[in-house]
Amino acid sequence: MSEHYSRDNTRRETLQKTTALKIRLGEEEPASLWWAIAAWILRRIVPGVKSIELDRGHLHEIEQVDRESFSRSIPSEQREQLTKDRVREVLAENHRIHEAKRLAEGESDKERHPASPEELVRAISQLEAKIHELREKGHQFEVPDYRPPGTDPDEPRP
Amino acid sequence: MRNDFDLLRTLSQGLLGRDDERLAPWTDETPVNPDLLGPLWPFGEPEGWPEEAKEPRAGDQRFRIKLTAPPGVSDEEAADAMAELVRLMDNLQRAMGGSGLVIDDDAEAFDECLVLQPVGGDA
Repeated sequence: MSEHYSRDNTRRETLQKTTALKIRLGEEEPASLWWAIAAWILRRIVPGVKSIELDRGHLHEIEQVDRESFSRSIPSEQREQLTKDRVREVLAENHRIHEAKRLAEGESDKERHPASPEELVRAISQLEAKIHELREKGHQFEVPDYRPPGTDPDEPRP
Repeated sequence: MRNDFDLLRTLSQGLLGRDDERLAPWTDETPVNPDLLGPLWPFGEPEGWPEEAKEPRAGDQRFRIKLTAPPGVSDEEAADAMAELVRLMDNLQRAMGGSGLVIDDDAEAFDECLVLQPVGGDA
């Protein structure tokens, strides 16, 4: 906000809260596993909204009350930290659950243990359902499309 | 190969959505991205597999996921939405044979605000 406007003369209205995270696999995981998870995420998220737009309804209303307005992106360190803490918490909890299951089934930690196709489809379904639920609540997603040109199977072919 | 067949057969019947509703079974026109089948060696490369034929590692490749919450959502709710999304992605990665996702330190969060200023206000 410009410094010469007094606090009393301005009012902020939060339109959207955006949080971005970078996620990776363990460095020694195979590249095809990275592409596999990327394929599922891209499949569901890439067609989503690509940019933030102001709500025109708000602007119209503001003009009617004879005010000037502008938009501004304000960093939220509190939400950034909160999000990192929550995500790390759930990942640690997930790790504990999976380790306990692996030990109970007598599996070695040296070998890979992919789930059965039914369990894999269940994991896919749960992710799809969550994305659907968040979209219905008005959340928007964005991820860059990492695929090299010409590798999207949904692209129209010549 | 049997795993791939079983997965394709299950997927072709449609995914389960909320309330166990079955979504979009495949048709003859449905494109299938081979990446959807998961890693090349879901149980790891065979023992004695030649070094030069080993597939590359994921290394430092990253996804950047941006989630924008609508008005009226608290910071806690926005953080929970992201955490739940990442948890389910972690489950999927583990179901494919992975050992879990990792998040980077350089996250970012910002609020898109409308700043209202009275016309003719103090300059």
